[in-house]
Amino acid sequence: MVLNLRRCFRLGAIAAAFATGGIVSAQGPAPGSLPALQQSVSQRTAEWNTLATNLEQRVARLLPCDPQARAAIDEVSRASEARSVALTSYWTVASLQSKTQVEAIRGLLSQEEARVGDWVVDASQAQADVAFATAQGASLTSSVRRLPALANPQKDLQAIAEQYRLLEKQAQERAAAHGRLIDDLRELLNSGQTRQAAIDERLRTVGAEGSRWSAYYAARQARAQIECSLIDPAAAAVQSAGPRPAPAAVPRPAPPGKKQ
Amino acid sequence: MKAPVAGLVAAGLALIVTAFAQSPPQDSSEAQQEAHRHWRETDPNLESDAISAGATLGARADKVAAEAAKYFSLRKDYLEGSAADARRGASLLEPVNITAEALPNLDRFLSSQDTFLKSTIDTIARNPDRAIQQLRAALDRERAAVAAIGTALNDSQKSQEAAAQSSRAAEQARAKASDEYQKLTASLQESAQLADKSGDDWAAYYRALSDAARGATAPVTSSGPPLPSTGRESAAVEPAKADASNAVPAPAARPLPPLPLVRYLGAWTYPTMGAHYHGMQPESADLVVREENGQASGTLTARFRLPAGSADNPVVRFDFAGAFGGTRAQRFAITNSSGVTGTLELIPGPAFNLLEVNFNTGDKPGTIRQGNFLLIKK
Repeated sequence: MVLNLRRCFRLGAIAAAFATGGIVSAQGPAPGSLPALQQSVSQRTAEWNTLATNLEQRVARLLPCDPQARAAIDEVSRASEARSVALTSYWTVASLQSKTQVEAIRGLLSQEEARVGDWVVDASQAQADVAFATAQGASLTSSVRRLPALANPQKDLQAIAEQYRLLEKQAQERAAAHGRLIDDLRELLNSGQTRQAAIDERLRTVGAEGSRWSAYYAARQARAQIECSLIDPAAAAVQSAGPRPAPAAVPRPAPPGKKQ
Repeated sequence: MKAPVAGLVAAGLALIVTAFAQSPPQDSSEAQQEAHRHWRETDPNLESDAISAGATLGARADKVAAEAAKYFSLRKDYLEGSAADARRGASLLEPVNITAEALPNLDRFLSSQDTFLKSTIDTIARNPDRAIQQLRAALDRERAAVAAIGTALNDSQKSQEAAAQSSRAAEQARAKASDEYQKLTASLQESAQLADKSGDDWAAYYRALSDAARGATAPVTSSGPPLPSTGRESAAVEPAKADASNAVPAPAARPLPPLPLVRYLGAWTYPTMGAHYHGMQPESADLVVREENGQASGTLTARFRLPAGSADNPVVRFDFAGAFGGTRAQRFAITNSSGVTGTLELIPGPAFNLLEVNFNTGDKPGTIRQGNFLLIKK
C-alpha cells in the first residue's frame, strides 16, 4: 500500500513537473526544460545526500521510541523519493527530446534519399546548359562575319556560358555534399538510436535505484519500530498505529547528552 | 504522467509533420524541368536564322525570352524552396543537451552500514529470545536492502556513463549533419542568385540578338507573348525597370497560383493553442489578404514577445501589395507609415485553414525585422 502510494506520489510529481512548463521556450530555460530539470536533480541530490549521510548519526543520539527517530528516517526517505522524481523527470524529458529528434532524422533521411535523383538531374542539366550555351555561341560565330552586330549577343552568350560553368560546379559540389549529408544523417540516426537506448536504460536504472532506496528506508523504519518495541512495546504500538510526526525541515543535531 | 507525456510527444511529432509538410513539392522540380525543355524547344533555329530572319526575329526572340523567363522564375523558386527546405532540415536537428549527473558518493555510508549490520547480527545471532530474533530478521532484511542498493548504484553508474557517452556521440553527429545542411543551404542560395542573374542575362541576350538581327535601329513592336514578369517572384517586389531599349511589353496575362486563391485570401489570426513559429515568438498576429484583378493587398499586424532587456518596438504593422505569381509561395512588397520596406511571403500550410507568414523588413533599428509563423483562418 505504501509502495502504491509512493508510486502515485511519484507519478503525480512527474506529471506536475511536465504540466508546469513546456519543453521549449523562446525566452530561456522553461520550468520543464532540461537545464531546469538538471538543476532540480542537483538540488534534490544534494539535499538527500546530506540527510542520508547524517541519518545514523542523528538517530544514534535518540532513544529508540523517540518520535524524532521515525521522523528522521521518513525525512530521508522523502528526500530520496524527491531525488528519484527529479531524476525520472529529467530523463523522461531527455527521452522525449531524443525520440523527437530521432523521428525528425528519420523524416529528413527519407526526404533526402528521395531527392538524390534531383541533384543528379540538376548536375547533368547544368552540364547540358554549359554545352547548350557554348553551342549557341558557336552557331553565332560563323554569322558574326556576315552580321557584325551579332558580336554583342555572342559576348552575352560567352558570359552566360561562364555563369553556367559556375552553376555546373555548384551543382556537382551540391550532389557530392548531398551524398555526404545522407551519410551524416544515417550516422546520426544510428547514434540517436544508441542514445535513445542508453536513455531508456538510464530511466530503468533510475527507477530501480529509487525502489532500492525506498526498500532500504522501509527496512530501516521497520528495524527502528522493532527496537522501540523491545524497549517499550506500548509506545511501539502507539507509534505504529498513530500518525507520523512531521519531520524537521532541516537536519538538526540532537541535544547533547541525549544518547541511547 | 501519461497525458502530459503524450501531449509532449504529440507536440513534437506535430512540429516534425508540419516541417515536412512544408517541404518543396516534387512537382516544383518537374515543373522547372518542363519549363526548361519548353524553352529549348520553342525556337531551336533562332540563332541560326539570325542573319536571314531580319526584323521578324524580334518577335521570335520575344517568344523564346518569355519561355526563358518562365523557366528562370521556376528555377529560382525551386532553388530557393530547396534552400528553405535545407534550412528547415537544419532547424529540425536541435541539440539534445544531456549533461552528466553528479552521482552521490555513498560507498562509505553503505560500507559502514553493512559492517554495523553484520556485526549486530553476529552479536545477537545466538540469542533465542523471540523478540531479539525478530530484530535479527529486521537487520537481515536491512542488510539485504543495503546490498541491493550497491548493485543498483553500479548499474546506475554504468547507465549514466553510457547515456553521457552516447549523447556526446549523437551531438557530434548532429553538429556534422547540421553543418552539411548549412553548406547545402548556402550553395542553393548562391545558385538561386546566379540563376536569377542568368535569367536577366538571357533576357539581355535575346534583346541583343533581336536588335542585331534588325540592324538595331528600327523600333519593333513585339507580337510575341509578354514576358511573364509576374512569374518571377522578384517582379512582385521590385518595380519594373524602365528600359527604353526593352521592346518587351508589360504583362497582359498573369500566371495563377497553383493553389486556389482561397488558400491565401481572407482574415487570418495567430492561434492561442498549438502555435508554431520560428525565431521571434508572436503574442498575437492578424492578417487580412484581399485580391482584385490578380493583385493582392492586405495588412499584417503582429505583436512579438521580446527578449528581456530588448527596447525594440514589439508591434509590427504594415501593408503589402503585389501581383499573385504562379508559385505556391507568394511574395509581396511591404511598406508602412514609418517608411519600412521589405517582403512578405505567404505559404499555404499543411491544412486548408493554415497559412505560413514569413516577413523581412530590412535593417531598420529598433523594429522587428523578421518573423515566421503559422496563422489559422478566422
